[in-house]
Amino acid sequence: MSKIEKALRKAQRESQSLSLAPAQLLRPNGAGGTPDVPHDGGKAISFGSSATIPLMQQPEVMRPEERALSKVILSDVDESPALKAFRAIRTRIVQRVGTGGSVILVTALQPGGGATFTAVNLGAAIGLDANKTSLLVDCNFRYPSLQRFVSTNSGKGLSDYLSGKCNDVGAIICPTGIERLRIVPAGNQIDPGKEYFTGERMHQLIWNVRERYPDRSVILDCAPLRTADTQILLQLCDHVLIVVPYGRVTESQLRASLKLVDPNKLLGVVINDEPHVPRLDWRVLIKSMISGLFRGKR
Amino acid sequence: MLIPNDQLLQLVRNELYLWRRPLLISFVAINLLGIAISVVWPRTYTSWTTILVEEKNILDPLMQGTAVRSPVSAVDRARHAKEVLFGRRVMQQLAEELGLLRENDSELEKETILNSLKGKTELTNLGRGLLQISHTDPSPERAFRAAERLADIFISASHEQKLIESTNAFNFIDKQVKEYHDKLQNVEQQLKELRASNIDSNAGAGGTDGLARINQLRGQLDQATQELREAETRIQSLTRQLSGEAVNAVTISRTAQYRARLTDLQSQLAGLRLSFHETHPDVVRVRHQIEDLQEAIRSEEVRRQQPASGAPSQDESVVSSPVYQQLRIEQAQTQTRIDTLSARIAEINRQIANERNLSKEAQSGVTAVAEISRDHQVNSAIYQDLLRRRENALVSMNINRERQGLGFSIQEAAYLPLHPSGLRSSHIIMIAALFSVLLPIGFAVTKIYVDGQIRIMGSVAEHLKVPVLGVIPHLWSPSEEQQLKRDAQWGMLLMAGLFFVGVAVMVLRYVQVF
Repeated sequence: MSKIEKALRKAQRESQSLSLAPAQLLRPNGAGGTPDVPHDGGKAISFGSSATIPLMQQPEVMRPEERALSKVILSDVDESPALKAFRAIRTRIVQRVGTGGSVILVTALQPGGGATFTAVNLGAAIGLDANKTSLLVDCNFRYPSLQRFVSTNSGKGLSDYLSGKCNDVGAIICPTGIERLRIVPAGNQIDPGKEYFTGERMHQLIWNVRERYPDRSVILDCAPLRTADTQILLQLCDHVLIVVPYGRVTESQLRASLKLVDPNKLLGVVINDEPHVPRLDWRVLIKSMISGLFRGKR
Repeated sequence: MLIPNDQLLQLVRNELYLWRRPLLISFVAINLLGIAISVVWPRTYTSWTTILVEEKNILDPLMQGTAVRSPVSAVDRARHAKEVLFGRRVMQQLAEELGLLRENDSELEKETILNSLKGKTELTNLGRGLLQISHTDPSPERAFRAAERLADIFISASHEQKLIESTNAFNFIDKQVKEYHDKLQNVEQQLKELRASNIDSNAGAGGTDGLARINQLRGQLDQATQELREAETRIQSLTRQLSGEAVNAVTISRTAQYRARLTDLQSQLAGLRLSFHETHPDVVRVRHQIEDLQEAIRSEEVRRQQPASGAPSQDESVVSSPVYQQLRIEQAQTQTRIDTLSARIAEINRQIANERNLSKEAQSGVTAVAEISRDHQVNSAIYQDLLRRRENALVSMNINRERQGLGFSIQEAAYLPLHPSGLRSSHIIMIAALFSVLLPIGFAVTKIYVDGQIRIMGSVAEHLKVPVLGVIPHLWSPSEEQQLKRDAQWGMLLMAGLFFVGVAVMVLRYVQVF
C-alpha cells in the first residue's frame, strides 16, 4: 500500500471518529453532505481543490473480499497484473487529458465488452492518488450496473435528474466503497422508449459537474459504441476510451467503429479481459483433491 | 500476420485456457476412443518368405546367342512378380488351398475374398534378386501357410508364365516364318513370270544396245537426208538446164542456118540484080525470101532473149537435141534416186521409232525385274533371319519347359509368427494420446491465425494507427478462481485416469489377456 493511500485511509478514519465533517455538510441519510455533494442544489462552492479531497466524506471502504467479488482492483503489496494495467492506463490518460475536469466516455465495442468494468476500475485507479477523485456516471440505461457499488443511496439517479424528477445534482452523486470515487447511478426513472441524452439537462449536468469539480475526472459508463445513446453522448464528452474485448472483435470491426468517433476526442483503445491464468500450486491442488476424495468417502 | 514465437506461445496458452472445457472434453474423448479401438483392434500376424531370383545360371553362357531368357532387371522383376502374384489365378489357388472359398459362394463373394487376400499379401523387392512375399492374417497359422503356399504358387506360376511367354514367342516367330516363306515363293513366281514375258527386252536388256542401234539408224538417216538434199539440188539444176540452155543451143544453130541461107540468098539476089530489074519476079522472090529469113532470124533472137520458163521445151528440135536427151536421162536418174532416198529415210524413221518403243519396253521390264529382285533379296534375308530366330525360340521354349529359364530358389522359408505385427494396441493408444495433445494446440494456432480477432496490442496500434493504452488482464473473482481450481483438478484427475487406463490396456493386450 502506498504512503498516499495509507494517509488517505488514516484521514478517513480520523474524519469518521472525530466527526470532523460539519453538520451542515452532512446529509440526513449519511450518504450525502460530503464536501462535493452540497445540499443547496449546486451552489458553486470551490470544493474541487486538491486540498479538500482528503476531507471528502468516505463511507466504509469495501473490504478486499468485496472488491475481489466485485472485480475492483485493490492496491496491495502483491500488485496484481490488472492493477498494474489500470495504473498504466490511468497514467497515460492523465498525460493526455491533464489532472481533471474532463469528461471521458468509456464504451465497448460489444455488449458485455467490459466498459463498466473498465470505467469502475479506471475510476478506482484514479482514486489511488489521494489528490484525485473521479465521478462515474452510469449512462447505460438499458443495462444499468453501477448501483451495486453505491454504498448509500438516495434512490435517485441520472434518469431522475434527466427526467426532471430531481433537480439537485448533488442528490444523485453517491459515495461508494471505493476511495475517492463517486457514482451517479442510472436511477429509477428509466423509460426504455424515452430519449434522455438529447435534452438540455444532460448538457447542464455535464457542464455543472465539469464546472463544480475542475479536479475531478468524470467518467461516463456507456452502452456499446453503436447504440444511439452512446452516439449522442459522444458529442457531449471530451474524450473517448474504447474497450475492445480480447479475442472477440476483428480489426475490421474496430476500424469500422473508429469511424464513428471524432479522432480528436479519441484517447485510445484498451484491450480488455486478456486471459491470465493465475499461478496454480499443483501440489496444493493435488492435496486438496485427495483430501476431498477422502472426505467424500467418509 | 506474423506473430513472434514468444507472443504466439502466450496466445496459444490463452486460447487453450479460454477453450479449456471443450478441449478437455475432446482430449478425454479422443483418448477414450483410442483406448476403445485398441481393445477391439484385432491382432495381426505376418509371415514372410524370401525368394532369390537368380540373375544368371549355367545355361546363359552355354546358350548365349541361341536362347533368349526373359529380361530380369530389378524393376521389371518386381513388376512382373507383382503381376504374377496378384493375378487372379494365384490368389484363387491360394484361397482354395486355405479353404476360404466355398462352392456355393457367389462371384461377388469370391471377388471380395480374393481382394481381401490381395490386401493381406505384400510383395517387396529387396534388391539383388531378392523378393519378399509377406502375408498378414489374424491367425498366425494361416499367415504362415499362406506365405509358404504363395512362394510355391508364385514360383510355379512364374515358370508357367515363362513357358507361355516363350511358347507364344515361338508360335509368333513360326507364323512369321511361314508368312515370309509364302511371300518369298510369290516373289520368285512373279520374277519368273516377268523374266519369261520380257525375253525380247532381255535380249537387248540394259538399254545400251538399243541406244547404239538408234544412234546407228540416226547416222544412216543423216546420210540419207544429206544424199536426198544433194539429189534434189541436182534435179533442180537439171530441170533448169533442160528448160533454158538446150533451147538456146537449138536456137543458135538455127539462126546460124538462117544466116547462111540469108547469105546465099543475098548473093543470089545480088546476082539477079545484075541481070534483072528490081521488079523481076525472081528478084522479088529472092527478096521476099531474104525478108522471110530475116524475120525468122529476128524471131529466133527474140525467142532466145525470152527467159527460160522451166518447162521442158516442146520444141521438136530441142527435144531431139542430144544435150537435151542427156539432161533428161540424168534428170530421170536423179528423180529415181530421190525417190529411193525418201523411201529409205521413211524406213529409217520407222526403225528408230520401233527401236525406241522396244527400248522403253525393255527398260520397264528391267525396272520391274529389279524391284521384284530387291523384294526377293529382302524377303530372303528376313526369312533366313527368322529361321534362325525360330530355332532360338524353340530352344528357349525347351529351356522354359525344363524350368531352367529363370532360377527361383527360396532363400528364407516362411515361419510361424509368434508376435503380432502391424499397428498394435499400444500404437493406437499412443497415437490417440499424441493426437489429443496436438489437436488443441492445432486448434489454438489455427484460430489465432484464421479468425482475425484482436489479441495483440501491437497489431492494433500498427494496423489501425490507434493508440492502445493498455491490455487489461482478466481480474479473477474468488469464485472464478475456485472454479478454475476445480477445472484443473478435474483435468488432472481425468488425465491421470486416462493414463492409468491406457497403460493397463497396453499391458493387458501385450500379455494377451484379451
